[in-house]
Amino acid sequence: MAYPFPSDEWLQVLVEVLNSDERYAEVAKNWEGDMTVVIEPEDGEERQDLPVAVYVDLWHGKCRSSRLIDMENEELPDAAFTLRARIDHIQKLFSGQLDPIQAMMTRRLRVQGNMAYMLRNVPTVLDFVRCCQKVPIKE
Amino acid sequence: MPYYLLVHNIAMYPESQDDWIDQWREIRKNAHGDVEWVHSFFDPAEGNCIASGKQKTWNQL
Repeated sequence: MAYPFPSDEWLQVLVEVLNSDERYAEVAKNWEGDMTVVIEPEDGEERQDLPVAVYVDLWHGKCRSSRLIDMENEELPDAAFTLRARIDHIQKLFSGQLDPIQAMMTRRLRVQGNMAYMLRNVPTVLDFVRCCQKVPIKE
Repeated sequence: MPYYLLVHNIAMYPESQDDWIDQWREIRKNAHGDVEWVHSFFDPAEGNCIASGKQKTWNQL
């Protein structure tokens, strides 16, 4: 089954994947840090549902909480990491067409937060994206 | 298109994304020709990063 993205349904399934994936639990066992991902429209595109933000609280291989943030009515949380990207780039990330490191290197994925911590935990970052890729997105 | 395998040890972790990109720009100067960065393979145990040119998997090296 595929899920609309971004949506509460998609996020709910992602959390289930994160909390049940044994490989993620092992790889991310030392990770401590929540994250907000701001999803922006494509250049020149106007969408009523964007921008929107996805918040996930990732802690020792589990996702403790999550929510979709309506940026018109709510401020972004003060998360350890705030990532920003256009929706088409995020969809490419989640379909495996765009490498996460390459996306950061080319600023298609912009990162605010402790880059040193993120780089020390690249396998965790990559495995988080792998889990995201397990949730099919409805075209 | 020539293939490159660029291996380096991370001596200092950058504070920001901009610092990181600048650091990589310097590393890429060690490669000859027009290198298109495609993928990285990390060894978390040693903190090493192996960046490659066009190839996308180890089998293609």
